[in-house]
Amino acid sequence: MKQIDPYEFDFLGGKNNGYLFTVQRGTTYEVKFKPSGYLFDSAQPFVDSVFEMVLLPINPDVDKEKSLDARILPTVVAIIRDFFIQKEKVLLYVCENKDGKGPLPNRKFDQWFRLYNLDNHFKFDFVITNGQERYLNSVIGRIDNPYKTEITVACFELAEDNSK
Amino acid sequence: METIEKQPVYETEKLSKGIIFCRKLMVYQRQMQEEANADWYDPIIQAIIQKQKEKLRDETN
Repeated sequence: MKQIDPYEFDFLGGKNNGYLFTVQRGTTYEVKFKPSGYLFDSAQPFVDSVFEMVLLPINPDVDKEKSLDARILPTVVAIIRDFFIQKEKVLLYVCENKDGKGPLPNRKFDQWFRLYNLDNHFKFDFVITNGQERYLNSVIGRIDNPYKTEITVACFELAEDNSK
Repeated sequence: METIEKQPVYETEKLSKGIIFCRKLMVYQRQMQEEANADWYDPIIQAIIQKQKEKLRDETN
């Protein structure tokens, strides 16, 4: 398969660890990693290591090219790779599935994961529902993450609590 | 009463930890989108974007 070059990106930093890249057709995107571990029990050892990841267009006149540009995906993967240097870090990706038609909305996260060194990472998904409200959650971390078990248990406890 | 996203959380409403967790994450997503849109007007960010666009132009030439 032909290797697709990622776009160049810049690290902005800030409280949400922002990265910035611009694509050929002019749209600029930010990838952000917001610290979100505190949403779990504050006594958890991984509380400082969980980040909610988002990919956001920042142009006011953004168009729908996102799915058309093949270089966006390898760029996001390169950014994840850059951010994921510390083994304790875990990424959390959530999307709301309003129509309940299946797991399509988090397909993007699956693609990132497949492209990103699958052998050395773990990934799992869990679903939270409340009537018509449905959220698909994906978690990705390094296989040598010292808190892998605790994170997995905490996420499935959320899902289990939800099923009661 | 706490308000999460557009859906009010009534003290009498029994919500699981999971739903509250996800609603908060969705609120953060929207906040980050608003911040990202505001970033567009930051001169420092605009300078970075201009450099990135120049590199893209060089790439195509």
